[in-house]
Amino acid sequence: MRGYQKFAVVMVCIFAVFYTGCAKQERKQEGPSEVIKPETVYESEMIASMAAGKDKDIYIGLYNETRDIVHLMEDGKSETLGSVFPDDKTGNHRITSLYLDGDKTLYIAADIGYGSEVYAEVYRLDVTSKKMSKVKTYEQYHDINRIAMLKGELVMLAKSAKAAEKEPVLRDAFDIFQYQGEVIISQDGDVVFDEFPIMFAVMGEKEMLLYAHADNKGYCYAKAEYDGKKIELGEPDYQNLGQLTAMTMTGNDTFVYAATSFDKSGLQEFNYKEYTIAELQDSWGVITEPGDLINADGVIYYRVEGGVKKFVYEQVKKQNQTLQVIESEQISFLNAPYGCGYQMKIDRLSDDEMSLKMLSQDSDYDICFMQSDDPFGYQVKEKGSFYPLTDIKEVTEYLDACFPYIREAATDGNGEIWMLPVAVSADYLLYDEEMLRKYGIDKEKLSTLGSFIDTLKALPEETRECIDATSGCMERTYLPGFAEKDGFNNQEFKKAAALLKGIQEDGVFAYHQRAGDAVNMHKQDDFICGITMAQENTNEAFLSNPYVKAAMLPAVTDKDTFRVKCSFICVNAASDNLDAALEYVKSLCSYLMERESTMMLKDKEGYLDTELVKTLYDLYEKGTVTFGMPEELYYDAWEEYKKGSIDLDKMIEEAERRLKIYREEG
Amino acid sequence: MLCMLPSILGTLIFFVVPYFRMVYYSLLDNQFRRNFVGLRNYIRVVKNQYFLLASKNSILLILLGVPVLVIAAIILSLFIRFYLEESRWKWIRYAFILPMFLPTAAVSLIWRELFSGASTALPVYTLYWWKNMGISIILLVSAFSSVNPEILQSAKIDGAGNIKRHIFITLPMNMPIIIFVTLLGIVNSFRIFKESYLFYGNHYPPDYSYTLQYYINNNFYKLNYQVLSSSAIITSLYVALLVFAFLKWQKRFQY
Repeated sequence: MRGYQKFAVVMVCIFAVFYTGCAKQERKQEGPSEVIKPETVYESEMIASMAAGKDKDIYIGLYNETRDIVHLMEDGKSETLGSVFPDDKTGNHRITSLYLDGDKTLYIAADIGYGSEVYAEVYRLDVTSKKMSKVKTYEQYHDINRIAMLKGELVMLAKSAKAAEKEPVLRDAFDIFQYQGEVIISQDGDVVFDEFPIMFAVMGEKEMLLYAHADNKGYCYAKAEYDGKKIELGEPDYQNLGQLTAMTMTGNDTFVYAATSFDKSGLQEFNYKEYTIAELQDSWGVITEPGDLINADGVIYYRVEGGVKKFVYEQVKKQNQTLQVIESEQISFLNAPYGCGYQMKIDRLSDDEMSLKMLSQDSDYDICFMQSDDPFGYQVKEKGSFYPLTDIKEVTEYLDACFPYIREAATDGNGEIWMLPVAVSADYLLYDEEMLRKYGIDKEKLSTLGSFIDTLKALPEETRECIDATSGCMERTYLPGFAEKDGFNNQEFKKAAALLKGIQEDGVFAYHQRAGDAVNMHKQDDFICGITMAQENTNEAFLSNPYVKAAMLPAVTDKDTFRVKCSFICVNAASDNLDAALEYVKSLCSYLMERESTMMLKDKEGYLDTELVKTLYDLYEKGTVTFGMPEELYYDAWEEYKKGSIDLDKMIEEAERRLKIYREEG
Repeated sequence: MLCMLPSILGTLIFFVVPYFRMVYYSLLDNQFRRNFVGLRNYIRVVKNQYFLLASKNSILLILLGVPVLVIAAIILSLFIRFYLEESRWKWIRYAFILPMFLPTAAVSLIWRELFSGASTALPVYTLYWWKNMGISIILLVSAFSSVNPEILQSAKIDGAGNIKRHIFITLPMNMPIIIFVTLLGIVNSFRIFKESYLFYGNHYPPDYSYTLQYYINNNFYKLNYQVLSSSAIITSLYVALLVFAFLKWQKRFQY
């Protein structure tokens, strides 16, 4: 190559390096968005279902003694239309679903009987004359929880005991589909669709949007047409929106739904053209039964604990440029709210992909959503892979309102705010004082790990179903604490290791369905105690019980602290959409300040006045945010030790060696 | 020149430009803040005990693994070229290239079973030899095939035995290829990371197997681009030195 050619190549290289690598961006900031709070329009603990009319009249079916229908008018006034089943004194008739056809005809589905004898009936009620007539009895079906009128006849989502025998094929670890025999039937009782339907929303005279778990490929939605005999499914689009329990259309390409998924719950809107999700209401208090979500001409009505709320859809839903969010595959934070009406596109990435995206300073994502127990989160702080939020007034105000240790965790060594915490959770000891007294358990004996284990082992066998402290859960609770703080080469770990190994085959520390249900499924059935990271804010059975309280985990050392896991967001400094991302952050701060019982805010006024919440507040007030270490530093060696392949000293030596490398290699 | 343009452009875009960009980032404190810190990252890396451990293990693999690979490849190639090809067992030579086609994940599983109690780096070394033997043999056999048989014949007539003929004729005449195979062996010693990672199953193998790739890879996960790029550049510099030395030495054997 000649001299000038070599010079040209070198100049091109230098130019390429600096042009692609060096540009810094100047950004401007805009004002915050207002938080729109939903309005309570009706209060009752007994709501069975709802239906909406064209004039925004709402009809609510109650499962009170008299099974009343309440007419809720647009001006907020309500009138009781009377008992649907006045002759039924035994409570055998239970309203399962309502549907308003036109303005005056209300269809009511009800279950008659209990257990294996239950069957469904559908009634027609003229709301003006209050005359009711039976449409049909459906002996083979029950639990009709969705009714619609298509092609002039009723189409219903019901459960069939016979269909429940079918087993769906789950696609992957995030597929939480549970089939209970749902089928779609016609007014005559014929099955018109049985490929694992989950929910549907009406789009037109004969069209619906159907969400199903079809073809054994997982969750999907598709437009479907009813031809009078069968429902013909259109081209399915496979999107995992979770176990969707209610949905209603809000536009040609959008629907609002309530779902339980691996990472989200609450009310969300999905745009199936753009594949964006907008979180409209977080899960706090939202009930997600099929008849509890309706769209009445742009006003969304939904059921919560103790009543019905509404919000104007257009006021909550932001017309923003879609925010691109990346989150780790490891995320399992069900109740972390972060949408507040913004439309988002969410990508779940592996650690490799996250590292690559950040190191290459991709500008195609705006927000990164992480958890503090994911080691990746700490690296983001250490390496400065974030846009500092220090100068945003709303962020500072929000962090000042949080517990001091949360503010401290959000601030890096240079005093910059590197992340916005949106939710916290922690492992703690949950117990029922009354049950402890009943079984003669001294609460003090639950305060250290050794005595906790001994006490539970000494319980009578019949009480074991009431304990929720599995050996696997305890390992995953205690081991990370050692890795994060003092390491494994100490007496405290040796003591804890021997205890944890000793409970491996012990039936007391196996999974017990009854106790697990009590903690996870809003039931309370002879629960004594357990180690949990339960979503305590939504477990109303525990919340209302004055004897259920929280305490620190049984201690292994006298320096144990309340370890708090935090889910948080970081803003990508290289984002193409930085202004919108910062706008969202400001809105989110306002939104988070309005939330109740977050266990992050100092002000006690924002917390429920229950014993459980009070004891939890006391714990969280003195917590510390912990940033996790990779499990592979110690877990392999721990597994070998448990199996007996290596002794404890060898396990400690290996874990310490890996910890040392992790801490000192860079 | 024009014909080479796509190739030159590809090399520039995918290798040269990223390399210089990496050099640029290695002189900063952080690729997000971009404060110039000079050679601080290099000093930090060179003083790091785990970088030194990784370098030592990588150099050991070169000093011990490569000579064994080359010597074994030469012996096997001579055997294949001059003895096996004339016999009815010549199909055996295909067995040597099989490791190139077998999936690494499956091989690593088998290795784990074979070397489950190993407390040295022997599993990694044997994986390295097993994986790279094939390509070395292919190159050497084709090089040995280019030796003029008349020269070997006349040496035989002059009374030279088999070993003397190969030592004084075959090998010296093919020294450039042997040097090339050695260089390839050195380069491939850095590429054994995938097999080693699958064998140990985590990012923190025993100290004797902790090589530069682990060091660099672990810093990748920690978003520690400065350490990653500094150590990669240091590694590339001493590989470049080695290659330069070998190429200089190779010139002595050009006939």
